[in-house]
Amino acid sequence: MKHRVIFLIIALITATSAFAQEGMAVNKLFTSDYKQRPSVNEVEISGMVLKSYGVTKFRSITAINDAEVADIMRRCVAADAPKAIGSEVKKVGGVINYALYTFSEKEGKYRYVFYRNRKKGDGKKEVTVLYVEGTATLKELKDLFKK
Amino acid sequence: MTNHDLNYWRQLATRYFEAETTEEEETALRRFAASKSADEGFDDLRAVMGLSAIGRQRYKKKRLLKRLTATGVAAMVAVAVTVGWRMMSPASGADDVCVAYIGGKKITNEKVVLAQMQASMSDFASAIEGQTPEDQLSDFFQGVEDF
Repeated sequence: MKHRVIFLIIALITATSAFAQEGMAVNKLFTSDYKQRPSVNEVEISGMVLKSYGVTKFRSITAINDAEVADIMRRCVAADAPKAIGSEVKKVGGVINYALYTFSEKEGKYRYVFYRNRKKGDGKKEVTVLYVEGTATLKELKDLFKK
Repeated sequence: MTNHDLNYWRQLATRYFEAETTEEEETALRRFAASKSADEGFDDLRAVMGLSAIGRQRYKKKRLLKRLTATGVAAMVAVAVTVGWRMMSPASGADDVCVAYIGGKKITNEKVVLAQMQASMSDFASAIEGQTPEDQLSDFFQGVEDF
């Protein structure tokens, strides 16, 4: 009985301390096996290595000439978009070229989703979704990563 | 034992039933009640002392259980606080993740993974600020096609 109570407490704490990313549709992109596909590139970084960037979590997924995954990515972003408190969207020919969504602060962290849909010079169709979480403001992120 | 001694024990037993004996007297009385010297006249005393011995054991067990329960609760609270603090702490070593999947191949070289992140963010920063020359050409001459 005592052991059950201990496990219950630990489980409750784990649940309530869950990542701010959970509850977002884009989370599905990063918890699936798409990364195993040769047509998909994925990056996951979190922890001390990002400290100098003011970021606590960085995740990205890029589908290259993969219509199936690209469609799922688009749907996930579309599902999260209505929850955004700020957005910048650019369309070309009625199709989103890129979008930047800012979400409400959670657990003291800002959250951003970036979406990019483009055809590169070599003819490859590329769709990218980034999820960034951290204490850096959007302006700080832009300044930090500008070339 | 002499009658005198028996009278002594009978008087002591009477005082025991009136709750007037000290602990030492009680112990001595119990020892006597368990000996062959105590005749059938001490049967009542033996019966009561047998029950009180059981009650004493149970009391000891209850006290031990109370102590264990208090200790258990304190331990659970300590575990809960420690786990909660650890999960809330920013960027502990155990939370560091730095991995990329490029073309289905896993990469854990920190420099390579960070370079991927920087390239993605720079790309987006450029797109938001004003498209890269490659994007402008792509948009004008090839357009952005819907998958």
